[in-house]
Amino acid sequence: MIDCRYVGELSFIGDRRFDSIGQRAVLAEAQFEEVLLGGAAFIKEDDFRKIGFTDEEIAAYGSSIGFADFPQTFGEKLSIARQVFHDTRATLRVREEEDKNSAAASVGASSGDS
Amino acid sequence: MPNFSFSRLERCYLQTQSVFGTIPNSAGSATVGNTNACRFIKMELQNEVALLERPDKTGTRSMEGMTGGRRIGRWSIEMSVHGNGTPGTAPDCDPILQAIFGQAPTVGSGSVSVTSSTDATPIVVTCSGAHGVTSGAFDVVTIASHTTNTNANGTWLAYANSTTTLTLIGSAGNGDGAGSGGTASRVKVGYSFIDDISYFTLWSFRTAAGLDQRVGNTCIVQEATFNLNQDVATWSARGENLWVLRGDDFSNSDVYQKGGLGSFPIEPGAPVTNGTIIPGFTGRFVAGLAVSESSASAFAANAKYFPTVRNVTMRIATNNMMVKDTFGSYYATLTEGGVRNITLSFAVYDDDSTQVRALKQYGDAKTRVDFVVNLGTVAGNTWVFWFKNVFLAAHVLGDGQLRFDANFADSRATTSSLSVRDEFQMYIA
Repeated sequence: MIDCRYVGELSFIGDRRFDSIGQRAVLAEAQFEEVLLGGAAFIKEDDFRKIGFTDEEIAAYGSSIGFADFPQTFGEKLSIARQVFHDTRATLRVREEEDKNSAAASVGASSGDS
Repeated sequence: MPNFSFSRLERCYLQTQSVFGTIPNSAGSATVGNTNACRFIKMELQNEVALLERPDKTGTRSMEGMTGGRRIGRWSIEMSVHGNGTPGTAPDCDPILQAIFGQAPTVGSGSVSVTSSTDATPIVVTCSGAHGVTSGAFDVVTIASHTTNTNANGTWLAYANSTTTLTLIGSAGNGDGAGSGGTASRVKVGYSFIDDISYFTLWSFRTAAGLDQRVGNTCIVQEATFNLNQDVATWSARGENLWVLRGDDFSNSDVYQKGGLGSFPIEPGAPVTNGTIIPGFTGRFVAGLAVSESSASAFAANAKYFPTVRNVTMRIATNNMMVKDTFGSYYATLTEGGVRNITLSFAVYDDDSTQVRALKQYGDAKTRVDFVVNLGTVAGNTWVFWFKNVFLAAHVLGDGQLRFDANFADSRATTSSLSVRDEFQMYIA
């Protein structure tokens, strides 16, 4: 299981709603990957902590989504968090594409396609 | 007792489709998953099968039996305009947008600190280092956390005056922003045209699971329409597709209808959807003499924000179609595309301001105008529609309400040159 935090605007996983920065979720590894590929911005708890979000910031600005509603320091942390999400997602997408290609290759091999 | 089919209990899943006629699958198992979910307002998926009448005389006035002819599917969908909410991540409706533009979006990246801004019209921001936009070029940037001159905050089409300064097109300062910080970010998703035709797979799963489930194979976009200044911004798209396969009919379906599937899948269990609605009346409408009529720097300096726009409709007719006349096939065999027709219709309250007068004059003189229409004000969910070289229709003064308005209907955007296909670009930042 992966402890993770939400850093997006609004996402649903099934009927579970995520609408606050820092909102916690515990997801199985496969679901964590699936959720990221689905565009929901989660990062692992460790990464979230390393970025340095404080509880006070989360309480004050976690639900704020405007441009000027939070101070630059919080905005910078949020940008870093979202970059972590982008990087993780990009890695997963590469792996997903490789899996697709290898599946297609194995189908081709078993059907005798050259 | 049979299950009723409540229209609220329907979910849509979208997949980009790389092979004409083949529903994305792995060894016959559909690959549709939770990651493909997309919220929508309403959707139609239907087949059309021509009826062939025997034209020979029968000696009576009665018609006898007919036979089925060529087969095609049609689809349409309407949904709220909603980005992902996280800048740089494509929205859930991305497969449809790719099918409009013919290619996957580009993802912009990079951000730099803002050191100051001018209290002027338009605002020019100065960055602490290189902002990454080529000098003399345009890009969509998002300014955040800028204090004092707070009008600079938001998503803008920006013009790079130099490697470190940006003009925010259509902006107006509200304070001296010297040393007032913030960031300028180029993180966004951008869509632009190529002449290829992309297609997607459109799934409709309904609850209860025992109901007939459907999938539209090889959907192409023929037209998309964005409507602004509603309470909730919505857009719609429609087009043709190869065939709409029904789960109930799977065993009777032929190989073309099955699209490579060995069985009809059940709905994924925990669909992931993202993004929130946009109040359709939030945003910005900016117009100016086209770059091609003047210069990039002149457009950046002189384009004006129009504060009294009543409504805007943006229509993208791709003129994509299925090839339905191939000998030897009941089904479409290819896709083909005609000339795109991108139009902008809007109404602005009539007044004696310089900018409204200019629009009327441009419409009469057929002088090209560039438009930048922002929808939304929230980072990650701000849509920027950039129309170039619009030949404005001559305006019609409407007197159907208290104030006159000037209506500019179906004004067509055109490319700057045949190689760049830049008549319309769309960004979500």
